[in-house]
Amino acid sequence: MCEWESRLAAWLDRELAQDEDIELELHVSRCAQCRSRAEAYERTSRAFDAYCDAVTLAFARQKASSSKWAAVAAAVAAAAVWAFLTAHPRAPITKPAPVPHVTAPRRSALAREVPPLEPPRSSPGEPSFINRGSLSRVQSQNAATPARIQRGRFLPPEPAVEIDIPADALLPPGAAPAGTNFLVDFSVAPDGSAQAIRLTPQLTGLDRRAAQP
Amino acid sequence: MTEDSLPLALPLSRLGAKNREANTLYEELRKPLLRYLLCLGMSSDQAQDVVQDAFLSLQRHLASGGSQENIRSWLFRVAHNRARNQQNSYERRFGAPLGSAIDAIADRESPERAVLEKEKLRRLGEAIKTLTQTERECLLLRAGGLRYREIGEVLAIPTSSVGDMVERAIRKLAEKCNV
Repeated sequence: MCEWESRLAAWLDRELAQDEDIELELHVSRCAQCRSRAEAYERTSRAFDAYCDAVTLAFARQKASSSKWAAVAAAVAAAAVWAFLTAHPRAPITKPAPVPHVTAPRRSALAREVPPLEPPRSSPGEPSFINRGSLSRVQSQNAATPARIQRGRFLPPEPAVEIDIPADALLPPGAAPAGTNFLVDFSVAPDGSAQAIRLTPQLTGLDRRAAQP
Repeated sequence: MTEDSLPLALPLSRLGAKNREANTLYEELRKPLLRYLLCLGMSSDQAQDVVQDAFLSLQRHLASGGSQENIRSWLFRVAHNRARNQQNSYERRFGAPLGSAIDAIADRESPERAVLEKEKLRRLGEAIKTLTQTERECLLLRAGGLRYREIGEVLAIPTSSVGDMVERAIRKLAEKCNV
């Protein structure tokens, strides 16, 4: 073993005193063993540096990976919240819907006999073509909507529009008993489309008889 | 992805006149400090905490009129001591995350070279584990650019001992890895 060998690392790191450094440099240029060892030390130092870089890189990747998973977890949580809110919707706070301006047609003599608009009721004599299921759904939606309730609190009720429709125009001739009228309750959506149509049969003859003393 | 992506916020704005100097030190020494701490086996979060603490200590040190000589070794010493205090399992974690790092390096190489690089780093990792703690710290601080005198200040050992340690550690690694 060469006596200079123990100072090779310090020589490579330029940690030796100037005279010692020059002396060792001369020796290395002449000694093949020390030259070989110095080269090995240099390669080892570079490999050690690469190893440190690799460890640092691994931690940086680990950090990025955990950040990525945190983002995924946040996205999943947001989706879960969205799904929950979709499944249990809160009543939307909407602006009061504008009251549609429908010009009431001229009332005919027949319409004058029609009693005032009444709330829907289920009666055994109600025709089967009236879809009460959809009607009740519309009513329940309206009832469950705070905005609608709020609107009803501040705005006057919608004006009832009564339209006279001859029974023959709705049913085959003779299908409707004589003296039967239909009260049509027609709701207009804010966009102008038909929201709900409700037909209620009215027996005008009975009303007239009941009204007579 | 590099270590640049490790964010670290440091409130150095109250340093006043020494602000620029501290910022320069921060820019210059943050990466070597992080690398040193990570290679000691600290987690990324731990290492960043320790680096931040070290720079806050530097801020207080400078603000209180402390000595500005050997600031680099001073910072490394503070970080080293804090790391030692925090890290109970000093030996356990060193080299643990190397697998993914080797893969990351291998991605950039050709398949044959990737295999060789992987094997070389794996052998080196095994060899590093055989070093004593002080030898390993000496090599890590040396890889961080510190002089032997500064390493001695950080580890509180004489400079001549640092030379011996570095020599011995390098020889061990060279013999075991045959790089």
